[in-house]
Amino acid sequence: MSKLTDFELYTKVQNGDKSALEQIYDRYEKLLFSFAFRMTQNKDTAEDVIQEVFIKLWRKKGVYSEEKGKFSSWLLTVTRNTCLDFIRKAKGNEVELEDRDSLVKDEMSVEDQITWKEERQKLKSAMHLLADEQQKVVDLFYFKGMSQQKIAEECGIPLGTVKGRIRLALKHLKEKYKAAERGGTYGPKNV
Amino acid sequence: MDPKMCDQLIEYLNGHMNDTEKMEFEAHMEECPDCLDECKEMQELMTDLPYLSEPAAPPEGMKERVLSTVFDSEEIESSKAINKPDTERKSSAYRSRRNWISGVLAAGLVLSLGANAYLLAQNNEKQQALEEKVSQTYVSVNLAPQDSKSSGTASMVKGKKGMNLVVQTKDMVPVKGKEAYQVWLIEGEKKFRAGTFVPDKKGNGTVVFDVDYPGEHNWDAVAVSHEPTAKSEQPKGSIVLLSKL
Ligand SMILES: [Zn+2]
Repeated sequence: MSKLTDFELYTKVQNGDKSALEQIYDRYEKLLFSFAFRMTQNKDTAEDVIQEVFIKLWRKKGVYSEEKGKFSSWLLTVTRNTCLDFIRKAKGNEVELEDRDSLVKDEMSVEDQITWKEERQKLKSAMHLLADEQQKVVDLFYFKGMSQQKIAEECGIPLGTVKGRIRLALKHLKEKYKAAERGGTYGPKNV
Repeated sequence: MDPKMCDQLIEYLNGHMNDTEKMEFEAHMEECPDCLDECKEMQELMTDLPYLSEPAAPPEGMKERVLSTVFDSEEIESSKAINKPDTERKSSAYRSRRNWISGVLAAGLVLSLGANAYLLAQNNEKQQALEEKVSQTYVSVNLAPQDSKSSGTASMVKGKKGMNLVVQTKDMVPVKGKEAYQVWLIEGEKKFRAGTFVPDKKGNGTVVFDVDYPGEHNWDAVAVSHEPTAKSEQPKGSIVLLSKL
């Protein structure tokens, strides 16, 4: 049997097909978990996030549609928003989310199995082409989910310039990434 | 265009807004093409960023835990569906739900209290199921966790024989030995014991208590505490959930 597309699986999930949900889970577990871990910096929280995302997928039927773009992008956006909820809640309870190193170190071999290895390498090299300050802005905004005020404080820049700087940093990153994509597909790796 | 509004895009994208602010900003974007374009552009620029994440191995047994929780949440729903009311009752239940929501909003209570939208939606569903059994909800609030990962709702409901307090909780820490959870109604400095419960294995508990204390009362808050025994006349253990009424 040929592999079903994400959208086909999603449609089955809408009809209450448990095995379709399991297939989506298997397809995205590593990516979503790694992303949630990158954002929350805590493996228990990352697991809670994944659970919440799949409950949303299972229960809140009919949210995704093909006009919203790729299913994977939509799923990642849902994951990011869920992470942001958890990060905010943790801040409110003044719980420090931190156990970054414990997990990644003993699992180095995972790097080779991941499906997003190529994208990651291109993005990483694109990121390194940005100025340090721009890399920081991307991290504080996208992965740490900070408010404008917080970003202004962390970077020591006027509040009014935060949005412009984020936008510029993301634009540069995208350009470099596009360039890496064009050059990297057939030729030698540009790392 | 309101320049203050135009500065809010980052807060919007990072979820630093309450529901009202979010709705206001979305309404603003409908009238402000600059913000709308900027928002779309930013979302587009953000699409690939998750792939920057360094690989991390999911914890042992995560798949089983996640999927069983997800499918359990469905079983609650399907058992509810068996008792589906006829159309007439359904519409009246819907109306009464609308009423309590507007009642809660009128009372100036913050609905979400840090709970995410999903939990709220789920509680609303349970709420509706309960409302079909009992008649009218006076007030319903989300219980805010106090140094705990628990969550829940509390509702004052007028039943056939008088007022009831309906408390639904989830993710409660299991009780050991004689321990129990107690629900308290708080009026000023006074705490009235509403009743006791022990959550199930999954940490869920749904209980209905009669509220028939002599005299007139104006309840300020409801709290759930983890008690050493079921017999505490006044709270001795730690409060795990609390909310204003
Ligand atoms: Zn605007």
